[in-house]
Amino acid sequence: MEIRTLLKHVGLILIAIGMTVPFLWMLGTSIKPHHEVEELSLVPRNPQLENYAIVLRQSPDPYTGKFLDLNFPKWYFNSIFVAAWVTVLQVLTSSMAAYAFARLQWPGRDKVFLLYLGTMMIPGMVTMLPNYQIMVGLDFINTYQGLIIPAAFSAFGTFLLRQFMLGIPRSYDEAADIDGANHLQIFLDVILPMAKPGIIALSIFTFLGNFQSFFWPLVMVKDDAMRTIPIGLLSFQGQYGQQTELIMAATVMNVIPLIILFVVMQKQLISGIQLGGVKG
Amino acid sequence: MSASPLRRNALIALLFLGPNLLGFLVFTLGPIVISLIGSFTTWSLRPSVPLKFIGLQNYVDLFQDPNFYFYFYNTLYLLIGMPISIAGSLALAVLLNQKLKLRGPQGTLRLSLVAAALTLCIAGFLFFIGSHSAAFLIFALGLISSTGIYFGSIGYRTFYYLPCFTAGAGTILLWMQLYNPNFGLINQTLVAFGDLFGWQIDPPGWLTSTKSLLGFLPLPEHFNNGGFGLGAREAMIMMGVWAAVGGNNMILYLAGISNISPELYEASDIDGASGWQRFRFITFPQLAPTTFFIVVMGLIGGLQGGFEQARLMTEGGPAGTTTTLSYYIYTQGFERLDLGYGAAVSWVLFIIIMGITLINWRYGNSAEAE
Amino acid sequence: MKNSAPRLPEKPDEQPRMSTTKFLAAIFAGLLILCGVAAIWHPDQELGDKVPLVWVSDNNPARTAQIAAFNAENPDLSLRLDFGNGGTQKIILQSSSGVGPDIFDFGSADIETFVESGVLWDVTDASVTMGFSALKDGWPEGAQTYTYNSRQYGFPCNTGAAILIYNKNVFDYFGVPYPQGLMTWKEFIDMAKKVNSQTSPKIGDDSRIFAVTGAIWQQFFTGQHGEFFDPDGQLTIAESPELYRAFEMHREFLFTHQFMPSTIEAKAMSGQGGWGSGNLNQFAAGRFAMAITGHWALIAFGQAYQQQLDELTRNGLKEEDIKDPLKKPLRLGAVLIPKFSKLPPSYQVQSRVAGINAKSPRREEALKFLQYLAGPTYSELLNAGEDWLPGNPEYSELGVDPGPPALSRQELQDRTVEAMSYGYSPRQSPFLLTSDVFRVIGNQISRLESTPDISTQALLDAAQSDLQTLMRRTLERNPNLESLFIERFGKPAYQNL
Repeated sequence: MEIRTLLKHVGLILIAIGMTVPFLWMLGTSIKPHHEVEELSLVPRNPQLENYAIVLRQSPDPYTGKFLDLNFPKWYFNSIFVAAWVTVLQVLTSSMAAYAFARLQWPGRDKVFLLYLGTMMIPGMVTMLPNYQIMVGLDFINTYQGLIIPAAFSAFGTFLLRQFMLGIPRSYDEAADIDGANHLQIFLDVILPMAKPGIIALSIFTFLGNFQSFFWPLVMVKDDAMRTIPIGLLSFQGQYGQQTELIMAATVMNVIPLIILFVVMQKQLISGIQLGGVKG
Repeated sequence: MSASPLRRNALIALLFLGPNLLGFLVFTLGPIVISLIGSFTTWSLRPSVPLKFIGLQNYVDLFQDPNFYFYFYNTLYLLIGMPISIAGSLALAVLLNQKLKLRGPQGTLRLSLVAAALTLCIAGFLFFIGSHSAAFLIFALGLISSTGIYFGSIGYRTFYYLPCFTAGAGTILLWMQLYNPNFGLINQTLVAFGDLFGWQIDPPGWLTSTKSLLGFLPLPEHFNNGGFGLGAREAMIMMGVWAAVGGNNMILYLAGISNISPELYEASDIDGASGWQRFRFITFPQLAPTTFFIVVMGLIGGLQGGFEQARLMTEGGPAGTTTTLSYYIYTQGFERLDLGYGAAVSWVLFIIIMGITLINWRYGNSAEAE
Repeated sequence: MKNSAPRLPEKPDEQPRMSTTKFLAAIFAGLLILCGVAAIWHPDQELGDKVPLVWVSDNNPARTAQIAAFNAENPDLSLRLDFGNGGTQKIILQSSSGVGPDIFDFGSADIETFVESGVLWDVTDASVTMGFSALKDGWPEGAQTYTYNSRQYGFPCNTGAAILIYNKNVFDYFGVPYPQGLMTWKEFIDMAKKVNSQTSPKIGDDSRIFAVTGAIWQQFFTGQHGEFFDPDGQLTIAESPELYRAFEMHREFLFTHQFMPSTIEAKAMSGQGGWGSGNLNQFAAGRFAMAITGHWALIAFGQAYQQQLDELTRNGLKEEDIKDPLKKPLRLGAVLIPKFSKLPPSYQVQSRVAGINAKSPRREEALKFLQYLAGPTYSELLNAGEDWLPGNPEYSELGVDPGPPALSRQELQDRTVEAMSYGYSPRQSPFLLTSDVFRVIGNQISRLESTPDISTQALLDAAQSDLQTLMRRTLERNPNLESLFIERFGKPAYQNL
């Protein structure tokens, strides 16, 4: 039995290495001097930790001798601010809609749901122009509202939570119903806590997805002060070359808090299982 | 109040749906209806083109366009990766959910420290003799194994999820280097492996090659089917599976497994079920809603996929073999300014995805019947 | 029933409900605090009563000085750079919705796309009323890069024609004399064979040196003064001897002589993705003997050179001490791109054009910026940096900074000015976007590179047929163009598309 567990670990570790390589490569590249970026080595010959200081405007760009013209802290704040709002709103609207689709019986339910699903099957590229014009009409261009509100409603989240809520045995709401609870109480006290694993998963996906989203912020944002991190990273790219090492340094700084957040959420997920309603 | 319970339920449902429905109508349904109407017109980004209704002309052109079939074939071909990655995610999730503790907390801690110390010594030695990259790799190996052994599931799932954090340009640049036919790590490893056994290996051209596993099919000439082998499309598939296997799907399966009532397993233990039987008769059926979700979303994403990779890695090449329908829509709409045609492609795509989903829905719903 | 009925929680007591609502309240409180921060945290923009102008361009280090000088010359205006914000899709989406920038840059290859999408302002008449004619002030050979149907839509931020830049270190390494004067392609091939690693690359061998990098087929095509359209705008690709020859020579360079990597291979060679910058760095690192490029590449080369010097200093070495020429810091020279033996030299002029958003409420003010681009202040700043030529030929040598001797800045500038006198732009057609032509031909080049056994004629026929389909689709949707086409070529030609 011990041997089998050990073998499992060996297998899991091997896979983990395969998955970690790009991150290691990113770490390595983030401390390379510019001319070593093209080389295939994982670790630079002359590590240059300064890259981080350059991105944070603590030391000047070695080539121009000037501080980079970026507002990294504000971009960071924007990313977190937008992603946090979107996550909360999306989880809220999706879980409510999912409750209607999974726990209530009403005529036409499945047809409406299929319509929801159908909207995800149209590539975003073609709806972009009309969508953008709606944003112009609402005067949402270059505002936080424009970044948050359209992303706050999601067929994806509704679908995901519906699937989780379908798995919760009927007997729970029936018992609550007998106790005289109304739908809002059942939703808040019975279904939401039971759907916690799904909600945590959706929160992770939404937060990460929004943190990394590129196309919508790209067209919505005009001012430097409104940029999010992925748009800000474009500053390192130009016709005359790309400062890959600085992009990587910025990305590492960008990713590490996300990893911490992920670990915390996963802990929640596991404790959620242990404390969940299914215990006798 | 004489409303029937069903009508009353519909009202409550409407209240719950309300917030989502509002956003849905404004930000989703409106633009979609516009794009549907647009697909029957000369909808264009050129002001010089008068907007007029042209019936099915866009669709007729589309079905006469030989490239459409080619790009559609590519899109379907790239879907091969989906079942592989879903199965992989499920396997990883099940594996991570098993007992990973070794001889209680003491033993676990001891073993993880041993692993850390051992790799640290090797890494130090390698660093000392000057191979820094190898030292770094071994150091990382030590970190991974001691974290994995000590923290178990949480440690591993964080490592597996890393590709999702580093998604985007960074990962794509890395894979382009890995796939380099001459200097890339993959081909270097293949050749070194061949040398070990004295085989002469002719390594694949990856992103530079139009070969594919279906390359022997007698497809029309403009499909550029470069014969049997591993080419750009397989490179895309491998990259996709790698990125997806430990990603969102694995998290969903883990969440799904955690929702399964432990009593089911307790009952099966009493019956003396084997590990496989437990999976076959409890885990897998209980995960049906999750699987349904993953498959439907996989299809939706997969059939609309390939855009980022084509834009950043290959520009749809070599010879169009990595151009998918979504990249085609982009070039038609924003490079050729012909939005109506792009919308027509989208709606054909919609019909295909919807058709497959409806079939799925039948099976999915029967599987999840209460 | 496959679920054994699970037991309920002991009591649905108050505890969980309190925590759910409390939890939500806490989250919203946190979000509101974030809102407060967002409301306060506004980097101040002091505008005063100045008119703000936004210029979408790249982050070329020289932009700061260029903008400062403009703002100094125009005290009532406040120009601001918005870098990394370009991209056809974004500009068109924003500008056609009326929220685009005031001024934006684009490559001259995209001019038709921007004009046809209606986002570019026709400045022909307005610039005359401003008292300057940017059209007359520009290079006569390059006028087409910022005009369309004889109307002017901007002025170049920089312009030029490609030249052949060589790395002296690589020539020294192979013991080959440096290129001299205007060669023919035949002479070039003889020379290139000597600066090209003879063996095809082995796996894992990253010391392979290629003779040349650059968009080769286009040089062969424009070197014969090739055209995609006849003067009336009809497509002539399938029977174009120039294009046929360009394809054949591309094939020969790639497969027979192995002078260069294929397009995708070249992309994969660089850690940076994208054609331009990555391969320029590869050239600067000594992996190519020659590069066919505009001399704006000096921005990348200068950066690489500086870093190579820094590394020497770090290692306590002097340039003279180094024996291996490949390990020396970059040394450059330049000649004109070779010509065909029986033809005069001919090069395509390209520009980075600044255009004005037609829907900008400040477009009259933005016009002053175009005037500035045509003037001496901007030109001098451009020449002081490492950029391409100024849009106004009168100032092409004004204030050129010679820079480090190893990079031969002046020589590169002189060759480019010389190349401009042989410059031209291929014809455009009202019936088809030139960017379509380049995309379709690029696709066929990609077929050639991946499947060498397809004949060149088959590739050209495929390109012609693809483009005719696109042309027919364009005409069917645009009655004005349709009647123009029928008027010029007759009904049968239209039906044959």
